[in-house]
Amino acid sequence: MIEIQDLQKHFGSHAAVSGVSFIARDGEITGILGANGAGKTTVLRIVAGVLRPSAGDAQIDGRSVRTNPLAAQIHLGSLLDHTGIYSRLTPRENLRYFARLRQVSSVITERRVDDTLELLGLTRLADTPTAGFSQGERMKVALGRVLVHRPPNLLLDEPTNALDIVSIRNLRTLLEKMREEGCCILFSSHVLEEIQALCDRVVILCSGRVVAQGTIPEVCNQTNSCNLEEAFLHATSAEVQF
Amino acid sequence: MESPVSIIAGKEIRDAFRDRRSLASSLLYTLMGPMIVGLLTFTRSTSANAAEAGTLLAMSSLFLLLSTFTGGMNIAMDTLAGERERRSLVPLVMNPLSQLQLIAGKWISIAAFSLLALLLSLIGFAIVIGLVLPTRFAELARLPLVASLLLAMLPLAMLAAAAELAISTICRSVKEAHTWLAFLIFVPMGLGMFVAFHPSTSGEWAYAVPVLGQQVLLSHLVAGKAPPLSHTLVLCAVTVVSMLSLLRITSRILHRDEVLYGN
Repeated sequence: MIEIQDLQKHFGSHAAVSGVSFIARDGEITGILGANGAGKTTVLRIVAGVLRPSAGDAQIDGRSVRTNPLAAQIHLGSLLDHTGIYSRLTPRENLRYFARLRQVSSVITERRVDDTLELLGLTRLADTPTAGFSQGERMKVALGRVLVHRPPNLLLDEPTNALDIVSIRNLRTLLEKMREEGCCILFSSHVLEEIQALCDRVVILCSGRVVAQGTIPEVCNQTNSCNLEEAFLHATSAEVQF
Repeated sequence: MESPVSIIAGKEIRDAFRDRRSLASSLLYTLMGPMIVGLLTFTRSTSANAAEAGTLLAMSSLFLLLSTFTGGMNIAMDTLAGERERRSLVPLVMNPLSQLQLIAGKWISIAAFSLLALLLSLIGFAIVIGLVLPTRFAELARLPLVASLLLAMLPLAMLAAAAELAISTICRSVKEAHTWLAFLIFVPMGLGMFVAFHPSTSGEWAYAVPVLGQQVLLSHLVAGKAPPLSHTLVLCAVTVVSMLSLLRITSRILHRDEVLYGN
């Protein structure tokens, strides 16, 4: 479970996140929605432990990212906006490296690497250096290294970027399976259809604040809207200026 | 359980060995000294006198000093500035590793290349000097001297690796790291020249200054005038303390936004 409490982040005088609080529960997919600059990536970076909050805290299965970041990271797998991989290593070596860093035993590592490569449709390319890979293939390897240690909590920042239709469908199936197994998934996307199809709950961010949250019907009720798109526009209309 | 430090170091070394272009460039820099000295000695071998041989030995010690810096330069660039440029640094720090573990793993890989360069350079010089210079100087190619030169230069190779890693950490791109690392090479080069032209810098105080101390130590060892053991120990201690301080500073700045994201 990921609990975010009154999270704040300032870059100089600019407040990127101002008092964000919500809970992403186990066995649920929680979607974060927001326009560009709403603070989605900043919130995810803080939860992932790569950015220190100015105030507030985030807890991963009860471990604070502020006071005990390494313990929190053990329970978390994160795919944020930085998705670079090692181009001189093969997908198998990329995944193996991250599994070993997560202290997965060598016997389990080999099996997990094979399973993950198969799941992402990378078996054919498993032993080819990733230097000539397409953006979608590179994204799959980046996703694979997050999944290879089977984290109980998963952070995904627009994970379907650059993926083809089949891979998006496979990812969706995988996330649904992980949810059934009790994984807590926090998922950010610009694509409303994706959020609608996958998420149990949504959190709408605007100018670094939560403007609506709950299940999709609850959010629609809160904003007197008949669908998520309208709800999003209503919730953010007071803040968004073009 | 395997230590994250050795996992990171092992991956970096394997990765660097696959970068053939960088490997060739490092090898060229490393063997440049023995090749130049070798060419010069071959052209003068028939008339080589003690003064000329002394100059060639001074050149050799300078190139030896440089090899500790050039050996790890390419891997240092790639391991941190390159990691950030290819956007794989953030995924790495999202793993449950302390900053010190991450920096130590990277440093070990750079230090391994620096030491390898030093060893190759020493072997190169031992061959050149042993084969070509007059008999008196051929004694310099004997194993005890080669071993003592290697031991004298070990701490410097480790300090050079720490300095290169620190520079690579604060530079925003590989290109910027390349520029600053090239400047770093001028430190041993400049000090080497300075010592050669100003013998007064060879006083005892020089042993308290890393790089300068190694240059003076090398020139004494090559001239067959080994300094007191206490001087060498002080130099080693000062060099190791400088190296540890640099690694500590580098690990502390690693999680800064501007370092992680290169902003």
